[in-house]
Amino acid sequence: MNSLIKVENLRAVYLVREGTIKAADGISFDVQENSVTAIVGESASGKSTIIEAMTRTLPPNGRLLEGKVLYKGKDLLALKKEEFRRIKWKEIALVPQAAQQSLNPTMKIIDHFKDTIEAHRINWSHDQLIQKASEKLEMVRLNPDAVLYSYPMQLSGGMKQRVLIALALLLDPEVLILDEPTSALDVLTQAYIVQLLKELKKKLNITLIFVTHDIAIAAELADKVAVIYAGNIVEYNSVFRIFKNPLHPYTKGLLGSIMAINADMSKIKPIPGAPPSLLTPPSGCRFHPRCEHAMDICKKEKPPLITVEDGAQVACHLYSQGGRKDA
Amino acid sequence: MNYFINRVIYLLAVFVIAVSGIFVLVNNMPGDPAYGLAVSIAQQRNMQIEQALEIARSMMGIDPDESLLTRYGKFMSNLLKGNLGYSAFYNTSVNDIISKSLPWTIFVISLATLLSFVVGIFLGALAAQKRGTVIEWIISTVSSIIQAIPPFILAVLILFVFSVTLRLLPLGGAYPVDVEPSFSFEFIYKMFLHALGPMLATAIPQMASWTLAMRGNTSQIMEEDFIRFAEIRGLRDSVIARKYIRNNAVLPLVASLAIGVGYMLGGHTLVESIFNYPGIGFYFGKAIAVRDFGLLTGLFTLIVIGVIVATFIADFVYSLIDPRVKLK
Amino acid sequence: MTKESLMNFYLDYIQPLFKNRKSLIGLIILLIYILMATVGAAVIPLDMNSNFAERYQKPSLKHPFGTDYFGVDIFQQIVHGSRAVISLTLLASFLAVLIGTIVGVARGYLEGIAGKIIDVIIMVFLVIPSFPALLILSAIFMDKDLNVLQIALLVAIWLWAPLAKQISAQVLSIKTRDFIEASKILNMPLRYILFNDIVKLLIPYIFINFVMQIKGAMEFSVGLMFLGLAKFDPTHWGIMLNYALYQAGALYTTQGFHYLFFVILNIVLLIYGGILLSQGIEEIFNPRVRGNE
Repeated sequence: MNSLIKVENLRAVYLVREGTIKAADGISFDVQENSVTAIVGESASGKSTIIEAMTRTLPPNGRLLEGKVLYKGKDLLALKKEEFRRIKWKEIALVPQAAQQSLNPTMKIIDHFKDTIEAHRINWSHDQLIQKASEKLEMVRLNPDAVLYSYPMQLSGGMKQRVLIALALLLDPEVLILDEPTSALDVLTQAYIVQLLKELKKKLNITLIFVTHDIAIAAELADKVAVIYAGNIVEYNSVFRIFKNPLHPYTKGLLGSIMAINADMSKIKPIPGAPPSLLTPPSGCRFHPRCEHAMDICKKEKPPLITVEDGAQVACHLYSQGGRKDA
Repeated sequence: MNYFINRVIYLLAVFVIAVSGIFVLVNNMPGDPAYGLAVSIAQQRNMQIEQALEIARSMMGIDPDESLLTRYGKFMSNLLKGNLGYSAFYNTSVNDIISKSLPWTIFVISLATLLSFVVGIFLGALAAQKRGTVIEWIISTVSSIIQAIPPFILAVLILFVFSVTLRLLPLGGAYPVDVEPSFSFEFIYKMFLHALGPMLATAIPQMASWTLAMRGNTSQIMEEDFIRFAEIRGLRDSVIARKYIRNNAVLPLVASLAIGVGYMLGGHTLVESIFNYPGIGFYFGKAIAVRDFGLLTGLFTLIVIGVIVATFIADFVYSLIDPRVKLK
Repeated sequence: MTKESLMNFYLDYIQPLFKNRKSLIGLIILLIYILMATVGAAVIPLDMNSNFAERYQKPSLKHPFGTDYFGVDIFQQIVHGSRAVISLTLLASFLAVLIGTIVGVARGYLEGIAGKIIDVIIMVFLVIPSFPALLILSAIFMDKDLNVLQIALLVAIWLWAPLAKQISAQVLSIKTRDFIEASKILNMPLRYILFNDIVKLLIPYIFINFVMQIKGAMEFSVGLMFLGLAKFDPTHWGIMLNYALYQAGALYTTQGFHYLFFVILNIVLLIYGGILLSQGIEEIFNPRVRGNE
């Protein structure tokens, strides 16, 4: 299988009064066609930054330092603004976090659809537009008659989130990127959305990338999982193997600290320490202050992301090409 | 519908209280309200002041032995009939004076509102877009400085610079004395020229205030998520600027349009006096100067009515255009 | 009032004023005028004797602002007039803020009919065009000699309403916030709830409003004087304006322009100082407003 998207050495920072936040520190990964990739990490781990950098939606104080995002042979980050605008949404659609505020409060939902097709010079007739929009709304299990002519304030949070997804699917993109699709939603709606995404994954020929802090969601939906810690990918593996056999100490700690309803409470071990400040990140491997396997080299050198076995990738000095270093 | 009935009752209550308050205040002060008229009658007809007082009182419908309450009753019943009182100084009904002067004031205020709103919105949006540039700095600073100039002082400056020194604008009046009032081009042209001074003096301070408000709104809206989402969807900058930013930013300003008109009316009083422009404000100023309390009360009532009506209309229009209110 | 709480107060509220450029300049301007009113008026003599030989002199070293129609030095008059202007304006602003805060908090705290009545009263004062109403009020009292406090009160009556509305809205919304509920649950006395919680949150509003009132109070008081509706210190700038325009015919000759100019300049400068300060304060408490950083 070929990779649809190849991210190479993405580095991005945020400029703040106190200095620069080194949020994305050399991110590289591949996304296969028609796969579902989850990018998992804690808050402020830099996972949203990756998405923002990839889609060129960094906030005003964000700066892309270097990196390439290869899509169908083109580096998205190097394209001219106008060229990129034409690819945006048509081929790669991003559904941002916090759907609550993403819709224009003084425009009806149908008008949002209209704006979208007009921006990409698509000449659908009014009826065609309604038909297509209804199709997408039904796909996300919304009732078009109720939703199309409403204003955003008349819809619930979950409904708005689904409208965003419908808008994202309108032009039948190849890639759908979702930033925290389930945060800020109640548990029931979360389950609903996850169900929905599963259906979409089955029905459509689409490549899905989503960012989440909720490992459970990743477990349900993803084919491959990239674990982010402090701006670096520490492990990138198939979802099955990550849960069965986590490689990186952080991943192990993360899985060990999850509460399951039927788990033994005594076995739950939170990771000692706190996530580091990205303003002044630790030297070498950014996880070393909290790692029980930390060695001298971990303080000095940042471990590169290497392929260990069967396509599993990990960034840790415990591993070398082809296997674990120590027993 | 319920909302509107509530609103009407509310505004009505406000109106009654406001006008009554002024009436009570004005009528409680020492001095005889008929005195002014009596003096002019006595002079005209060469009679004793006591006789003149009687005549004056009968003309104004005042009975000195009446209690304040009865006078109030008469005032309110007159009001309901549409009679706003009697002017002692001009010796005619207030309604008469209003019919002569109101059109001029409406003329100037309408132009001023239009100009200040449109230009203010434009400059404010521009300043927000070009945030951090010289243009924004100029617009913001000039607007702040203008806000520091009281409207009547601006009027004095305009009068002085343009009329006296540069002789570009006429010194006063609504229209030139040497041209026949008609629909001729010359007359209409001169009419606008005469209105330019008062209009600018009233419009410019308000314009500065709209500019700063619009800049504030626009800056806030530009940081909203739905703007970001529009960009993510690939919408063009011009479309976003128009439909997403501007429309949302202007809405709250439309709501304050009525308040703006209220402010303009307030400062306009003095402006008209300075320009000798024969509108409501001018006669108001005159009434203050000669203590014609009948005229004062009548004109004031009119102004309060005007502000309340403007508030009501603005509320109504706003509820039509903001979907968030429409659906409540 | 421990030394530490004083220090905190300084750091939280006072120091930011010096750091922000706008508020700093505004403060400096206001301070200059306050100095003018206090020290300057004492130091610089006022010679009001007419000296027709010197009338309408252009600005020079001897007469920094020139002389007026009567040959009296304008600079001296401005300096002395600043006393009247500052005292009247600051007093009126203070009164307006006082009344506005009391009514606003009272409204926020009273529910039901009492609250609605206050609402209507506030609305009345908002709807009535302030300046014409002020004129009427002054015309009524025209014959009496009013002192500073009375004139300030006359002006303040027409300035308090917008603040009262803002504050009542804030108090009403704060009332429902959790920590006030917590205070109630913990059974702390009503006064404690009222002052500590609510007032602390309102301080920025009140502060900003007080400074903004300077503009309104100046406009109204200068306007009043300009129309000759209140007998007051003849060096008050509004009265100087009146003289400049009407008595001395500055309008019809260009000779007297400097007279007009300097009076207007000082009026505008003082108001602008107030505006700058209030803009600076707004920037401090509402960071979104800041321009370029």
